[in-house]
Amino acid sequence: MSAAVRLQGVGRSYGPVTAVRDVDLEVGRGEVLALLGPSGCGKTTTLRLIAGFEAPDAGTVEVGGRTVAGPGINVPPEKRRVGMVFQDYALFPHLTVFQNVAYGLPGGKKARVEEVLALAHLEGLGGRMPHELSGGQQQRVALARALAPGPEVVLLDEPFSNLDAALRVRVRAEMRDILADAGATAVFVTHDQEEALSLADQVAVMMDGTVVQKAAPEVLYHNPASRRIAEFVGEANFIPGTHENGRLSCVLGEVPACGECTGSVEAMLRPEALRLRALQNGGVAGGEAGATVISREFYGHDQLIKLRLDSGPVLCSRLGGGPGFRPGERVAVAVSGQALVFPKP
Amino acid sequence: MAVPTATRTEDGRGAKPRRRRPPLLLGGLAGLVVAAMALPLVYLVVRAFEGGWEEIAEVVLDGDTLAVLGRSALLASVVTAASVAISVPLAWLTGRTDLPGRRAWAVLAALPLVIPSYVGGFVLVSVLGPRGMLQGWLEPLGVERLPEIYGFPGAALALTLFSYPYVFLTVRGALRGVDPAMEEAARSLGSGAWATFARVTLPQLRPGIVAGALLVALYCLSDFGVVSLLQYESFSNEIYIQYRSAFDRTPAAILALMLVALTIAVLFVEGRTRGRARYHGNAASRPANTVALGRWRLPALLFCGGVVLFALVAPVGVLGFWLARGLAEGEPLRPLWNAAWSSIYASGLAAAVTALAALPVAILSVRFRGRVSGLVEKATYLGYALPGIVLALSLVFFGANYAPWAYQTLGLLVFAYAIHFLPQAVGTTRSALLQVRPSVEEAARGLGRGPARVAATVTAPLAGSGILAGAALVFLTTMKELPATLLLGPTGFETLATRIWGATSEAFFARAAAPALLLIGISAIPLYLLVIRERAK
Amino acid sequence: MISRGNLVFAIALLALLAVAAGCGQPPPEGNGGGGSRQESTSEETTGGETTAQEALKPGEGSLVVYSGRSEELVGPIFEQFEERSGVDVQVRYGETAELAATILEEGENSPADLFFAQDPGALGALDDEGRLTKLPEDILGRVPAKFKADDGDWVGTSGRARVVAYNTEELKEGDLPDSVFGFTDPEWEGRIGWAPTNGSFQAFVTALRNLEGEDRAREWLEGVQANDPFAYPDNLSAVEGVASGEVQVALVNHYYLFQVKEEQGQDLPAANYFFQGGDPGALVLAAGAGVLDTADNPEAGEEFLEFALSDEAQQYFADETYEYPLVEGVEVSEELPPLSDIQSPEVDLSNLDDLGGTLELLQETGVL
Repeated sequence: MSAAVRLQGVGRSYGPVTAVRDVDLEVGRGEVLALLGPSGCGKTTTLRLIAGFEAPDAGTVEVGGRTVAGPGINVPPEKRRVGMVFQDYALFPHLTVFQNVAYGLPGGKKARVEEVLALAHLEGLGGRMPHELSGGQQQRVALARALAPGPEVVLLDEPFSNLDAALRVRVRAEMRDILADAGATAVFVTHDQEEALSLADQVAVMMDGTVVQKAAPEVLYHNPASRRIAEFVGEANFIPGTHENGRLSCVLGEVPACGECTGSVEAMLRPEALRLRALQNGGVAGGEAGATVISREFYGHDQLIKLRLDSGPVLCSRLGGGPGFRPGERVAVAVSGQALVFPKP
Repeated sequence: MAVPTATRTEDGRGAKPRRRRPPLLLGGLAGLVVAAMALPLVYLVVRAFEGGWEEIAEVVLDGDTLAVLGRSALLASVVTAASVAISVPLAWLTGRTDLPGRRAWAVLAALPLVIPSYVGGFVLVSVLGPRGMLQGWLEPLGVERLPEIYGFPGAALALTLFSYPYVFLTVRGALRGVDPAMEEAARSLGSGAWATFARVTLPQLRPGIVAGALLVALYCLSDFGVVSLLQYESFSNEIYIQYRSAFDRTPAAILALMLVALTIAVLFVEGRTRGRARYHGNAASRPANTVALGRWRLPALLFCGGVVLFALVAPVGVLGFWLARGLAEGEPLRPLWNAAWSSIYASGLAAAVTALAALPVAILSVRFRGRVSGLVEKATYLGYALPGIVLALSLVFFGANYAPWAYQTLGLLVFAYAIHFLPQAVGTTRSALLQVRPSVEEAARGLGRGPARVAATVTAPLAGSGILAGAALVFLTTMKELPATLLLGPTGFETLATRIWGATSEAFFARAAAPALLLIGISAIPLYLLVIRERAK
Repeated sequence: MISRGNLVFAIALLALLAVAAGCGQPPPEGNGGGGSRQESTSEETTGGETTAQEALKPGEGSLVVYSGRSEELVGPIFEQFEERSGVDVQVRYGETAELAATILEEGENSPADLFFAQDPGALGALDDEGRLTKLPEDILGRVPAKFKADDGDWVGTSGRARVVAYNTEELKEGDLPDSVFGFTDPEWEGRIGWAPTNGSFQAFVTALRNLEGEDRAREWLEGVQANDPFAYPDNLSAVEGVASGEVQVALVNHYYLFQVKEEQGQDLPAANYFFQGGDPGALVLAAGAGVLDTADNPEAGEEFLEFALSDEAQQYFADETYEYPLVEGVEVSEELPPLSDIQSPEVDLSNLDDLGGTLELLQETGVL
């Protein structure tokens, strides 16, 4: 079965500025891919190249097994069978919800529209005008509209950035369910790593116009390919140390580690890997280091404790939502889990 | 100019606009403006009822009167439709395609606005008339007689050519406000370029089109210059005949009130066309893709060229020809500096005063939306649709009898201009205000600034460009105003418009051509700035 | 806040105003030097002097005139008068009828001293409303009886004969009918032009009604209307229409021909034809003026009328505007038949104020 979307060696420049270079990507059918990266990394351009609103300077774009862009070929967007959901939803304000969703269906098949509306949990709202809906509802209409014609792939451009934080989490879940129910292939662009990790089957991290790593979320989180990626995809602690045969020697003691480089390295530990224990009267045990708590950020379901090791470095540790520790308290830090080593910069 | 009269939800997220009571100061100011609008109406009612109900019935129910009213309505409809038909493609071609020289075309397309109708009508007759220039050129080719220019065809053509820019400018502004994401969404859903334009872009342009169309339609009702030169029996013609022949102001006042009634009908129709849709006037997050014209390039250029040829090149060319001919025959030309300065000065004052007067009305209409503020906004159009002579006489009546200290001063004249052209400023100010997010004003209020201070220091600067655009439009229209200037200006006050009139009334074409060209030249500058300014935004 | 583009725009606008200010003089405030500014040479000095006299209030040696006659034509008369008398003349130019309506609207507070009209209808209308004051005998005595008001409230200043302007390439004088009624003949279909909104035409129709009776007048109107005449907005366009061949004949006032000849060249293929034998078509009208009842300075008004009827001014009318001087002894332009030769019908011009009736007739017959 051919991939739903395939990019090979795709590049696009605007004058002296290279937006995208040498991008290779594949999205399998039914898969959800997240394009994750900081602003200006080229992810939106890549999306627009797939949609057909930009033409590549180099490389080829295939949608549904058909080459839609490449040397001598540029199929216009209306012929690519690609659905798109925009950041501001771009609902047609002069049409009702029903008419919006029916727009891409030649003959406006009522049954299909009803089906998609039900899929998107929008039953009964067909007669409303877009401005009469809440933000979340508008977003679902945009998705329904894109899904109705049964496209090869649905492209979403920062679809949640217009929603407030509380809404975001719920809407994300709904969207994931809708896409799964529809069996749709989707590519969405985001700069929010939490979003990418929670929604996508595969995450492609883009930096400086090219894909630097593509992997499943867990893999990306626990095995980032570079220090930069590590820092971008979640909180990360970095401490210097020596790596030999899967063991790292550092200020936190002897720690199991993985990674290719040996000798003097920079080791990454996720905050979840640091365990804290209240330190009452001195006494650090072996495999522990003493530290003083600097600050605490409480999130309800978890908390991030920032602490300074006695030996100097500042680290952060993620704990559950329990009592935690206050600034100024003395704690003992131990590592539970593996470190990932990177070459020293 | 940004989208005029598009209503927009406060935060673009479906929240209903808050219904608050406007502060007293704002309501008072807007009320003053409306009271000023009402002056001509009071005068008309007073005069109309002088003859009692019988005379009113006699005039209103006369079959001929109604026929003439119908003719005016027909003219206004046709001119409006033609203006829209010209302007929408022009705006699209100059704003969204890769037409060569589109910046220049945009300016040229807007320029016919500055040509006074009494000049344009004259020129049209001399070019396309039965013994005009075109006939002269075509005669050797065997064309015996051109199609009749007088009457409806000529009047419609002349009015269309010189007032379509009103629609062009508003549609152009509206086109900028269309979110390109919507067009891209439509294309991703399978609509080709034409289908996207028809089904998605055009409905978005509707508020802009309607706003411009309203200006054109009401202008047609009030215009006298063109219909008298091209001999079309319209309602304004009828009113003038009454004044010029009968010296009895009562039937004229009755007719003018009928015109007001027609205006109200037009406004009512316009209100209904707004429909249920609320237009999200998002400022475009990125510039829209330009459409490649390909093999349509030549037809597009021919279209633009044709319009500009008839609406701009022909009048300016003919004027230049008259001037050259007059100079060659040794016609003495009086210096124009005084008249030019008076024109600029008076028009500048009018622009400033009108823009200020438009502010309370526009703020009321945008921030405190409701029935009353809607009515207030509509009321501003009543002064616009009245023929200049009616407006002038009403202020003569009030000025001479109730405010003699103001009578025949520049102040009263500027007041007349403001009443006459207020809707132009209100429209653009409204759309500028619509783009200022209320949250910004609220933030300022939260920092302890009172409403008036906020309006002056936060709202006005942010909406500044739109307000300036409205002022510029009023400036341009006032430059060519004639009847009020003749009757209400200080005795001896000369503008370029009165100079043109003085010369044309005695067929001294060269002496008319010079002030006409100067008027066009001077007006072109703010118009040019107005049009190209938009690109910088 | 204000973007740079807007700032540039605003500055440019202000600069425009400033430049224009530099080029011109400060705007006239109320007492503009209107009357003294028309000249056929390119001098500007008198204009400047008058604006400096802004402080002059009406009634102190100043005369306010509402003139339906254009600046181009009568400006020099005002100028000359100013020089002679030292009176500061301020003129408001406009259309005769609109100015009359203005005077009526202004009522008691009218600033006007003198009303100078293109045709007697407007003067009659004002007179009917009692707005004109009786003129002194020595002024009235200078013009023949038929060129002034019966009650002496206004006086004619120059004569204007109704004529038929005809295209000399298409017609000879012999082709034209002896009477204006001849134009009702179907042979004239599509060849006639007129200006039914023009005051002189309407005065002519009123005279027709007076002379021949309402029914005959109606007959004439209907007869000509049946010949599909071309309706011009004014006499000037009618004469141009004749010259260009758009129509072959037009019913106009005599002097327009000369104006058009001046503008377009003396070899214009058009000439005037005067009806003979007291035919209504040979009506001689007059432009005239009256002093208003609300005049602050009626003496200055009368002084001006004296001047307008002086030999010098009458000669001006004869030479420059090609009109007929009304005062005895002033030479008429060579191109015109003398006034005595024109067998004008006996109509009292001051009886031509039933314009309401004329208007009704014109509307009934579909002419207007």
